[in-house]
Amino acid sequence: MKQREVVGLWLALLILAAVAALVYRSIDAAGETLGWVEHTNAELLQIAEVSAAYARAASARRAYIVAGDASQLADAPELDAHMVQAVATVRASMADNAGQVRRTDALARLLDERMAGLDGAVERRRTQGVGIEAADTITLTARIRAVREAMEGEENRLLAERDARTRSDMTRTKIAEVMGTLLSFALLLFVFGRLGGEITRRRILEDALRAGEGFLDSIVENIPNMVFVKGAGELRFERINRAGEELLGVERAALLGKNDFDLFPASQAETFRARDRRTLADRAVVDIAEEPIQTKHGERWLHTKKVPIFDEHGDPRYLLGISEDITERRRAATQLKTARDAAEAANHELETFSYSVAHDLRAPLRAIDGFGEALLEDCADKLDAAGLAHLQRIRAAAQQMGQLIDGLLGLSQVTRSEIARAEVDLTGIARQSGARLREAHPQREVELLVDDGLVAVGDVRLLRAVFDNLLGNAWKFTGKCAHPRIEVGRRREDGHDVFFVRDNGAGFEQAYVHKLFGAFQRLHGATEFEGSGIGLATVQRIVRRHGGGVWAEGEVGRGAMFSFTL
Amino acid sequence: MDGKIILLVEDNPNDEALTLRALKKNNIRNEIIVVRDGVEALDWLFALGSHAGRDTTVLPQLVLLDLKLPKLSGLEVLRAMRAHPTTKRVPVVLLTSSKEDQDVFAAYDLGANSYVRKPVAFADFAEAVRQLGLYWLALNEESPALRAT
Repeated sequence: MKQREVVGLWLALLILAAVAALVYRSIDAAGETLGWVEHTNAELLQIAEVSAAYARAASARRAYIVAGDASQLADAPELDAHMVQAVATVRASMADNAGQVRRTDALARLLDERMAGLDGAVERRRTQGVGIEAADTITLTARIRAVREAMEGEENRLLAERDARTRSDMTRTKIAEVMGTLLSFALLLFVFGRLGGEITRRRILEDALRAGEGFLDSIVENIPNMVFVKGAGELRFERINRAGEELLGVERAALLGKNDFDLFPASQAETFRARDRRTLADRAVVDIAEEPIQTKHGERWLHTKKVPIFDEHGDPRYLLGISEDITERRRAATQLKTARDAAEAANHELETFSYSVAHDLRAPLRAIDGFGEALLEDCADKLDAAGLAHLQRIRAAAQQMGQLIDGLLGLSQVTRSEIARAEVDLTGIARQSGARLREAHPQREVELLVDDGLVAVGDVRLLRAVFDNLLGNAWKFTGKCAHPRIEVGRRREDGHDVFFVRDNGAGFEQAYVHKLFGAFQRLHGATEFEGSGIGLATVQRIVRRHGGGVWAEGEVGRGAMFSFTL
Repeated sequence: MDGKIILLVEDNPNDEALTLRALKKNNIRNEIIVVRDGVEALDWLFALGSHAGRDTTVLPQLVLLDLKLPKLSGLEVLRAMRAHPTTKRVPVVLLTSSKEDQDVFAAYDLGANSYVRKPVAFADFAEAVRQLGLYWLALNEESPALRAT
């Protein structure tokens, strides 16, 4: 229960208690009023008694005075005493009301006076034979009646006053009672409303919890890995999911309550148990990357996590195990390794082959060229012009083949070598490359403009090969240009640095751009521009190995621009 | 003849002939000893086998060593030379077709003085030989051990 409901409940109880107290007091007051009515009635009766006693005492005397009947005179003292007694009773019962006491005393005096007057008349009758009452008798009688009536009036007035007070008390009590009851009822309604909400919420939570358990159960049941729970004590299976049943090839019913020794070969069971115990003792998750397990379907390999689960006192209660069947993955990994080893062996063979190609193919070419020259030098006089021209072609072909072999070796080297990434000063590389070209072709006059501050992350050796090839191309294809100019720079495109080498040379037909980067593809005849057709294939391979791309734009007679990213 | 010997270790007769021609073309007139495999090279250097009895105090001014040789490779010859006190300072220039990184690094690691790739074009080859001769035979100050002989 929340704070507010508790407060509401207490408030309702307090109000109800207050109402009860009020009602009790009210009933008490009503009872008191009843007592007062009784009391007043008794007093009125006593006053009447006084009147009666007075009347009896007076008439006993007046019988003699008026009719000469002396039979009652003897009773007079007794009647007087009775009257005095009645007056005393009235006075005692009215002791709390000073006004009434005063009136009682006055009444007593008037009665005494009246009796004395009557006694005087009795005496005169007896002695003078004349039964006449004193002249003031009438007045006295009237005064006695007036006092008596005043006393009775006072009593009735007091009664009415108390009655009225009690009635108003009763009305207030009624209002308070109704209001209090209504208020506490409202409070109780509120509290129970809240409690009702709380109860509904709790029921929803409980439902959700139950649903959640079902949900978890169904997850555990359908998880593709084996999930099992063993009791911490004897390490018997208490729970297992479908994947576990399938993996082990054992029905759930046959498995629950069993331990590892009932299910697996002793040596394996020993290993499992030792690991379970260690997991529980260390209170930590144990991850077993690889372990074999003997199942009904033969040996499988598992990757298993063992998790200790504790009770509320922190003592190990369960051992949770989650196992992934990695048999297939392991097999695949083994196959992959075999394949990789084979690939490495093949690659190594290829390297050896490349090496042989380099050494063995170049040697005969050297001989062809070298002896061709020897022939030219030593026997030029024995050959005519046609013979000399044939010899030149032989030498040129040998040299070209040498270049092709070198290009192929370079290409294979690019493919094989590891990329060592570092920040590379492309400006420096491009300028060095240009300087080498100038040195190799001192007769050429080429304007080379390289932007400052070109840097990129990559393999310095391979990037050098990129610039050697691109600048070498530009150098070559501006060979027939009046004012050859080569620019190297950088621009931003889609947030990437794009480097470019632009020349104003022969250019190419954009329609053949797709052939540019293929090995041995040439867009120009060998007589026009010499070359192996390997350079751009090498550039593309290097750029791709850096994760970038290379493309070209050109126009015949207007030049070409090669752009690349890294 | 000033007695400065060049030892040429080369198994390919064509390359041998071309190398000799290039040397001659460049007016390098030193005595040139040609051996045709790695074992013979070491036999000559240490006066063993068919070269037993040779005066081992006569050391070459320069060894031009092919890399790929029968029996013992050029690198193995180089290693043996560098391990031996009499030959460890003899200048060795590897003259080869290969420019594989692994070969270049291995050669320098073993103490090669130069590494020259034989170009296909004879003109380039002749130029390379000329520069080698100029540097190692004319300009280079030979080590004291060699001069003492």
